[in-house]
Amino acid sequence: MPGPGPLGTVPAMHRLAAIAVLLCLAAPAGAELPERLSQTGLSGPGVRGFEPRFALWSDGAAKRRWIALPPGGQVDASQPDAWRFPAGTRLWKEFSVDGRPVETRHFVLGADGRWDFASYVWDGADAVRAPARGRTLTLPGGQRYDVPSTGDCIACHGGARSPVLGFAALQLGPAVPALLREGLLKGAPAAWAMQAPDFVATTPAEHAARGYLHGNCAHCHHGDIGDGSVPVPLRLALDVGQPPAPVDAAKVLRRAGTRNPYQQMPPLGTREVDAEGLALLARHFKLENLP
Amino acid sequence: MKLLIPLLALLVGTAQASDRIERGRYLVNTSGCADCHTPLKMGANGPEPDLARHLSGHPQELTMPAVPALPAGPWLVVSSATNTAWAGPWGVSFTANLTPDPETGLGRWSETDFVQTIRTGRHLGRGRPVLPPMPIPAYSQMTDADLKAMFAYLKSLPAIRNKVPEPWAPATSAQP
Repeated sequence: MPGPGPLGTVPAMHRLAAIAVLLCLAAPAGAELPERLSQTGLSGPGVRGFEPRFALWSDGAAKRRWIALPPGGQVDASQPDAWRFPAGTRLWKEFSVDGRPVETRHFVLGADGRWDFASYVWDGADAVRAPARGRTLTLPGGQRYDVPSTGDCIACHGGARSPVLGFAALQLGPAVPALLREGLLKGAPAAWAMQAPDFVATTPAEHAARGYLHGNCAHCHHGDIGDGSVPVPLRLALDVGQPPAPVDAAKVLRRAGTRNPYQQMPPLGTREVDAEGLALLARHFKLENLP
Repeated sequence: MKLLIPLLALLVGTAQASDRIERGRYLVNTSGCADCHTPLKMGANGPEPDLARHLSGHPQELTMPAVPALPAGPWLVVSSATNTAWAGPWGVSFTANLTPDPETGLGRWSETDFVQTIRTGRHLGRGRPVLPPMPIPAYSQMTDADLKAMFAYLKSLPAIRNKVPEPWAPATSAQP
């Protein structure tokens, strides 16, 4: 049973930080990222894999993720739900369909505080950088696959509490104490050395359902007006040590259960409904008539 | 002296805000925003902008019927008599309420939401695509300063409560 974490939220600080991040992400691109994935340092030293507990649905693609901090670098966890990363942080996320890698996304935090994004499309033993406008691939099985544009990257990462969505307190959960003991976090609550951060849920079903919504929706629906969140009265983000906000579940399921391109949620990055995810939500919220 | 400096700062700030709104008014008026976002009504001399609904988008009470089938040939687009509903290969789009009504217009939008919408061509910079005939390819080239001025002008307008319908997807060609 997940237990409460040690700290609440710091909304005003989140708000300022989110605006600052959005401005950095919205600025013109900085240094060019390499042309090939093999030149990004993915196979180099200091690269570690990680896995979030509540994965974003990507039409069933299998995903692997890695992070590399600069030598001696630490993640600032003083805002438990909005970690800050040192300049030089690099992340990768690989997408595979039917056991075959299709795309690897990469982003890097520059010395000027600006994140640069690129996507690499696999071609044989290496992957080649996709155009900034994105592209649509047709996979061997005939499935269409959207490689995001740089604007699409910013759409999901730019307004979030932290641009790094998966390497975060609630997403890493039980893996956090080890990171703290390893010295990779600074400013984190001391309690995390012994007790993994979590949100307050009364049942495993609630934990799974609200975690799903956090992983799939929280990067946009995380707060109040003016803090980088979308200006609609819906809060699906979770906070360390806090219970989830109330939600109109039927409305959420209606939007998650359509792929009408103008109504679907999330609005990009998926062409197929996540039937298992919807069933999970329907069970917890006791909604029988799925969209 | 202690009061004079804050007073001068206030006056300068007010003048700058006023200049910005005026710049925004000029840009909105010369960029054709009202052509589609202010519904047309039939007047004595033909269709004319309904100024009581200035920039408030497709009238909520005007429920559109299914899109008529176009004859064979190079016809592509159909629009309503109000010039606020447009049907084409993308489905049906309805022009947005640009007044600062908090429930149905831009009242809850931040300046960043507006700039990012125009810059990216996505609703709020991260949602569904902004649809034709909105000339995003042209407007996305505007400077941040110009877009912010336009937003400041739009926020200065009287709020009009008008809930514009959501767009219709192309496959249905009918109300969702």
